Amino acid sequence: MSLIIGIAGTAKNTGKTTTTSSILDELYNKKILIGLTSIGYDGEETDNITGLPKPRLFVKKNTLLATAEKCLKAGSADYDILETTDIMTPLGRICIVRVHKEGLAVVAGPNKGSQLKYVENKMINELNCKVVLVDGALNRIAPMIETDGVIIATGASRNVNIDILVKETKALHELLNLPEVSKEELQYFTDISKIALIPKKIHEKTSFLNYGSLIGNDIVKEIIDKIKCAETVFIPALISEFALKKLNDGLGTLWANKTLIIKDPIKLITGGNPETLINEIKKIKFNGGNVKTLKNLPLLAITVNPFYPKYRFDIDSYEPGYIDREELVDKMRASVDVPIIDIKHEGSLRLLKSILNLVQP
Amino acid sequence: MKKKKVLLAPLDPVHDIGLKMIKRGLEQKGHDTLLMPPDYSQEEIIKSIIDNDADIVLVSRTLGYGVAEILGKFIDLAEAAEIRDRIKIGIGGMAIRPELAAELGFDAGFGPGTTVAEAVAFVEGRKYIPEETKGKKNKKDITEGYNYLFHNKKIEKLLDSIVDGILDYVNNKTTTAIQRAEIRRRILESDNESEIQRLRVDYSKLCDDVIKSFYVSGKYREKTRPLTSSEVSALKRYVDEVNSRMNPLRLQHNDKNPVVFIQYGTGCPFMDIAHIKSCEAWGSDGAVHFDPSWGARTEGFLEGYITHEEDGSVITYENLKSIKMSLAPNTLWQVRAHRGLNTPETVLLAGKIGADLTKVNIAYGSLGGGTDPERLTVDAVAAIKYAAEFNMPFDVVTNEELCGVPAYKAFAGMLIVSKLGLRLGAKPILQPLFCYSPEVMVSGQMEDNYVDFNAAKIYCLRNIVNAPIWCGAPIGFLTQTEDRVQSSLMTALHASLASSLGVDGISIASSDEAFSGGPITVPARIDTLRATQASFRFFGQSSIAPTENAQNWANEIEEGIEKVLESVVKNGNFIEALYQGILGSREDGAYPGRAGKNSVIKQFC
Amino acid sequence: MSILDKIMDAIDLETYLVCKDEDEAEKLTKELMEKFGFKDISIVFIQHQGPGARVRARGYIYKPGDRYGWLFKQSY
Repeated sequence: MSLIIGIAGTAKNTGKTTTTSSILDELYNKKILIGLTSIGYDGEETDNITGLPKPRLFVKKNTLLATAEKCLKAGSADYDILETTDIMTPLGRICIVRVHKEGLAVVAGPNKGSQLKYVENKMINELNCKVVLVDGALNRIAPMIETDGVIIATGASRNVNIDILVKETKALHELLNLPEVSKEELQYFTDISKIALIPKKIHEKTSFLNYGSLIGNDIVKEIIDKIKCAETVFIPALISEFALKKLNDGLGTLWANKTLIIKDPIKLITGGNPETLINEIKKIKFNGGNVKTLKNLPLLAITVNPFYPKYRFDIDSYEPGYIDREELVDKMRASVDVPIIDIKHEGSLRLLKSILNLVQP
Repeated sequence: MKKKKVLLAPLDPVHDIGLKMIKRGLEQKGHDTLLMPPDYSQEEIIKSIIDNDADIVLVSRTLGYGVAEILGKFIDLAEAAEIRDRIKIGIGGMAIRPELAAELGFDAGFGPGTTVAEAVAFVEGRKYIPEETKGKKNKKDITEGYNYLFHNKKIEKLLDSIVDGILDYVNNKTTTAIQRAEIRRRILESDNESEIQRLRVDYSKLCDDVIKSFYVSGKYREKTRPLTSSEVSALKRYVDEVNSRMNPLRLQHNDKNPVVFIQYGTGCPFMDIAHIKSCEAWGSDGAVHFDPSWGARTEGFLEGYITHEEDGSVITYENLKSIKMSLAPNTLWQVRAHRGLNTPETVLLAGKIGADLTKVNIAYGSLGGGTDPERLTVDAVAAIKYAAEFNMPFDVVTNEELCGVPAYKAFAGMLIVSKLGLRLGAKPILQPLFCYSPEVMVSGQMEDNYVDFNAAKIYCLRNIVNAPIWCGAPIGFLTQTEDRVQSSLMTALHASLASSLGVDGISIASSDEAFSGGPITVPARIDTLRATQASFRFFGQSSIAPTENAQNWANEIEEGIEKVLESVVKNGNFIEALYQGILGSREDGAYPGRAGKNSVIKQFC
Repeated sequence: MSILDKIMDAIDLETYLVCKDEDEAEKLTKELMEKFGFKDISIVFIQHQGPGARVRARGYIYKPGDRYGWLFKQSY
């Protein structure tokens, strides 16, 4: 059994890199073969001298990496190149390599979901990795759908107001954990690429729209016009917050006994704000409807970081600032039902245990 | 190539002019384009991509605020809408760095300075090669198309009479310079080592002591040293490496724009080469070799790779050869021989090594260049013969204007030497100065503008003869200050004035022209090259319109030239006219040079 | 009191670097500016052609909204 874990940060300084390196360390302790890649690279953290991303992750011998050609020369680790893929990035082609001398590495992987999938398949099916870590990039979330689950790093850098932070995280968790469809339904919907209005009995007179995404007034209107005989609305691609709102405004109680099926939560999250989206989903439920997803993106854990860079006007400089750690952890735990860990404070062992249960049940 | 459907969308509240230009470029190449109005939401743009079944999307973002969040979201939306894998997405605009675009998952990022051609290449899936024409610069013959027909027949007649006198005078006269040039030629053409050694001894006997001691005891003149063999081989490596990545810019915006020469003479041939290569890269068309001023007062040349601590690069066969070997094939190269005691050998070496142009002017060389009029006249005739033999056109520079000689007198001297050149079978190029000369400072012709009097000079010369004109040297002389912006602007405007007047070539200074505290730098050279390029771009085919003063002054100059030539003829002898100040007097600021005085040897056959 | 207090906003450094391409020029420029101790560095202009790159790098001393040294210290 293998596991692909995505690690995403909600803002700078939320501790994404700390989370990734802690997991790496614990996996090394357990002698688990790791594959490591990332979504593109985090150019904010470039080394001013080399112009390349700063090496921030320490990799040990035999770890497998998917990273761009130019990054192989940066950092202190050495590699055997196993494959130079056709995946082009501005830092050169993506290479799949094995570490032969441990050291600091620069990881800049593919930035499209389809390319990420290729790399993951290689690592798991051909190179026998037990865990593949996908280090996220700020401002990009879509390719994470190609993982088995994500760990989200959040904290004071995202928002110093603990209540707002907890509310947002809770909404995100709910979006990522929508009920999944049955196996039978999954099989039926998997190959449908357009919005489908399915009547009561599956396989009968399904009405297809020309679009896969719910992203415009005309599409919303067409669904409203055709909703009467449908029992299920399937949207296989992007759903914008604005269009979903319009759809709810138009349908209202017509949602009663109908089900909205989405392909995966990423299709929602990229299109809007988590709290607004959850509100819309609640509206559907309030009106007697239901919302399901073909596939979820499990939220494996949340790491929280009370630190934030605090600006001081009097000295025109930043200094370390902290919000109340205990309050943050307690409120988060009370609202969000996944492991909540402050890595800096309690280390990553608990985090890893909860993850390893998934790999080695 | 398959025609593409391209959607162009600004991710800004305002329209990006860049997108409109790219749209035009794509349409000219036959692609279908759709330009979205500004201020559409990202979702609306995604929908348009789907509705129009676009193959390629070009988005622009000019505002820097929140750029990473907005662009990251756009790519995420494209991926969530399941269209990412079938379209190519490029991003451009003031706020875009290619690295940022890459980091956020775009297929290409175009920052400030991107050309339409670059964006078109991306759309067509080609590797972008900067403007195909750039690599193919041709070497231009600036004398091409000129028949040297005199429109002013009176002047022509006067010139012929003066030239007859010169040729008559130099007949049966020689100098050590002429003899050295002949020996040098035999040295270069011989492959017999003992003969070469014998010839070197003969050569050394015709030199000043400081040069003689080099040939006899290997002693170098003070402030010169030989370059080491490791320096010589490192230079070759450097030049090879640089040549492998050369893709020179073009300064000219249209065919009317003149060729642009830079002048070099840092003292070290290797620094010269480094400067020339950079100037070539930034678009210069030609380079002019400056030798040290002491070289002009010394009988004889050294040998070998020699560097020099002061201005001017020492002329030796090896130095010139190493410079020539480093030049791009299209670079015009001029070696000056307009003054001094080695003019025939200078032209011989230049010709043997393959220079394109040389520079000869007896009037300037003897009135402003410090060489004895008689000596220079005899040498110049020999030098011009070499120029004709090696098919090197030569310019006739009128720098005596800078001493204070009025333009009409300097032009009279220039026309005499030009006519002499024609008679000897060479191709002269007129070189009037574009400068703020002492003459105009005193008489006020440039009180209002720098345009009219410079234009008058060109009008006047064009009225006299159908000959190529190369403005020098450098253009804008004495209008520049040490401030690089002012200096570069002055150069650029003079360049455009020259272009507007239809001249064939110009020599430009660096923006360090007015700085005398040390050697000039490469950035200072790039300053004026870029400024000139920008100015050519600005004016295009349009013209600068001088006031009516220009034509009036042109007529005055022409009348002045006639009077000067008449008095030279009346005086009976060009050389005497130089001594007497007819072509520039002591009161004007011109002093007949003394280097080589009484050194002409009379031959009896 | 530092001489930097007298600088209104920034120090520009202009030079020409012999290098193979613009990327290399950018790296070298940043390295150079860091060696000089500049903290807030921008590359204003960079153009690479053949032998090398013409660069203009900037180290900001004061940006609008900062507390300007020259506003308070009248003499050095």
